[in-house]
Amino acid sequence: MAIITKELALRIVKKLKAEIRTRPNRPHDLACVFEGGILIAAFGIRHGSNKNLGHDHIPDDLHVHPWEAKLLGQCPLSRDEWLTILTKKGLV
Amino acid sequence: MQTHNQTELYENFRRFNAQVGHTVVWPHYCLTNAGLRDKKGAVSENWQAEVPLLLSSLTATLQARMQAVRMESIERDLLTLKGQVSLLQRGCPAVVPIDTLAPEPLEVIRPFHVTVEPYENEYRASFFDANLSAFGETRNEAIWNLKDIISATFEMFVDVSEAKLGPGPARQFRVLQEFIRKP
Repeated sequence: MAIITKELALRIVKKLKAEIRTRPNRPHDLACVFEGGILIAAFGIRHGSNKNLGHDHIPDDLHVHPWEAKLLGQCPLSRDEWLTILTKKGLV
Repeated sequence: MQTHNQTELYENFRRFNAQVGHTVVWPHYCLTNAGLRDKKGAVSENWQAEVPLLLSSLTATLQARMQAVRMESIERDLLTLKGQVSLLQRGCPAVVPIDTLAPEPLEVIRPFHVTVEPYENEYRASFFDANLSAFGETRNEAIWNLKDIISATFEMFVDVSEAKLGPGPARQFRVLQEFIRKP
């Protein structure tokens, strides 16, 4: 099973306060994360009702390790902590 | 049929073994099948004359059995190899050239390559330079989904404007601009 399921991906969207750009009749919607009006990350959310649909591309899109992305969706890692990780990598 | 007593029989076997230079163990069923011994256990008088027949019969049986064992072994190895080839074919990443993003209204100005590889029970297509990837149940679907995410990301970068892109997205945009543009 995928590390990041669709269910977890939607929780990450909520946690990061991402803006969703809906794209009807296309395979993906696009989630965009802004900080201070600057786009710092974007990732696709696959269409489909299966909540276990794989979204393992998200860790790369968010520039974090898969387990960190999982923690984002599961709550222990906050948005601010994720921003700190990105800042250390020079991505914010 | 004349019968031999047990001692005489073993004495004859001992002589035969001495002649051939090594010990031959004659199971009861061999002797019975070769007609050297009847069902009651009596040994025929001319059993020594029939030994070459018994030997050739044993040799033929042994050769047939060896052939069958060999064929079974080859079949088993073939099945194993087929399985391994199938795994290799499935597990081997494929490099696919992309020279169009149709039906998206974007033009590919320089063809680029993406990789497709099995991932869990799906396929993952990746354009590493732009840090973009997508999944699909088949290789084709994964490529199709990657094309969709490439065009969606590029159009979103254009909409947001370059000044509002952070370091990560800005780098992605620069890479994408090397390969695609809005006509």
